[in-house]
Amino acid sequence: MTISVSQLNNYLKALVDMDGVLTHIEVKGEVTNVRPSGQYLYFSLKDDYSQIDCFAYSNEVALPVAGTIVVANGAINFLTKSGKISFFVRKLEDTSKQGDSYLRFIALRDKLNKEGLFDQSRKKSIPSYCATIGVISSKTGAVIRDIQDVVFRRQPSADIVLYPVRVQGLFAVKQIREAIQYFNNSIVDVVIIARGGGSDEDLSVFNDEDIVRAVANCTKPTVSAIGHGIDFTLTDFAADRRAVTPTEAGEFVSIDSRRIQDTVARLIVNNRNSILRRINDCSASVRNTLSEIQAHFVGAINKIQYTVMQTEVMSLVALQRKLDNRQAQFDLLTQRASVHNPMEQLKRGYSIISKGSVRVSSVSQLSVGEELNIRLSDGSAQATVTKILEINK
Amino acid sequence: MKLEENLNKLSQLSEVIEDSDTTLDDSIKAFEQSLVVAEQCLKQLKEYKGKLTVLENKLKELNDEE
Repeated sequence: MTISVSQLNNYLKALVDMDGVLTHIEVKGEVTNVRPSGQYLYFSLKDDYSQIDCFAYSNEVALPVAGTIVVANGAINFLTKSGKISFFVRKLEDTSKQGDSYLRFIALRDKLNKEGLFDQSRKKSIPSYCATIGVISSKTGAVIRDIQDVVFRRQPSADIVLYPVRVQGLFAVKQIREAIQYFNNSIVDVVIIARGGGSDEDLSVFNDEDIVRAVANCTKPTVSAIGHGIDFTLTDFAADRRAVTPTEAGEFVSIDSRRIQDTVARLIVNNRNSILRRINDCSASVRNTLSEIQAHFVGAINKIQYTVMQTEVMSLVALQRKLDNRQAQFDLLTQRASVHNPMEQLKRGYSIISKGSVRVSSVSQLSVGEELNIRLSDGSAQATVTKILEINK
Repeated sequence: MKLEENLNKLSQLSEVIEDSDTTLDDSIKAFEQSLVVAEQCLKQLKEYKGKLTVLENKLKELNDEE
């Protein structure tokens, strides 16, 4: 008998909806992949071997905590359109226990942390310039494309070496370990370990102890970009740097050449302007110095000129003073001379009487009838002695 | 003779003139000499001023070129 897909799915839905067990069932499991979405709450329940997707109304069921053991009460729902089964949860009871896988995760985390694998002191710096970038990721999918897009846009000269691996499931641990070992002995400057988003189970390979140890001991700087920003694996703790997305990982390991070009151009302009300013400052300084020198010389010359003139003036004053002194001395001497000048005596009415060339100074030199010469101030006269009168002694 | 030497000479002559022990005759002779030296000084100073003017013009040319 041949039926259509819709007929098959409708039949299966009927079987499920009519099953008394499946419509009212309690399931115990570990919460994982919690994703609230508007009025719905999506999560999964799992045990060591299986898991089932669940959904609930967010106003009916409290947000469960991943890793906790819960008892979910509800009904199995078969979706005819997709042919998928999910568990519609009406009630959720937290047993306040943590699931085994979560406990294993915590134990491993603590153990590796105690060994110092996650210490900040172990972290290597990402080189400021990475010429060759190693990538451990799937060769298909958006992750490697995103990394290539961002790196080649920012740093066209970069080389990307992809070591393709499975990023979940069988062989993933072995391949990722081998990839890290490969890059340890290669010439890459940095290694990106990346995969896209997924369930906790999908990402669990990056909690594997061997991989975490390999990342921690990698000889190259490592950047992890696993899952979405809210996902954290032990590989993220062990890596030297964690990126929230593959694009961010690409930004960490590449330089923005356009920004550098802009920076260089700006520096060139700034340097040019700075040099021009210095040239102008020097020119102004030279001009000012020359002006100062000129002013100094003009001042010096004027000062010397003034000194010369002043010296001459003072010399002249000294000379004049000296001359005046001499003049005063001369005047004094002439005054003295004029006092004793016989001519002055004559002017006062005295006369000089002489007999021939002999000066007469006494009546005893005279005889009556002698001819005498009388010298006055303005001339002389001849006289004859007519009478001699002697003054009594 | 350099300007500084003439200035020294002028200063010395001035001291001679101002010295009261110097005779009037010697003072006048010294003053006549000082006039000659002062004239030389002023002539030299005038030359320097001329050179400064040349430098000043060169400086103006440099400023104009800027």
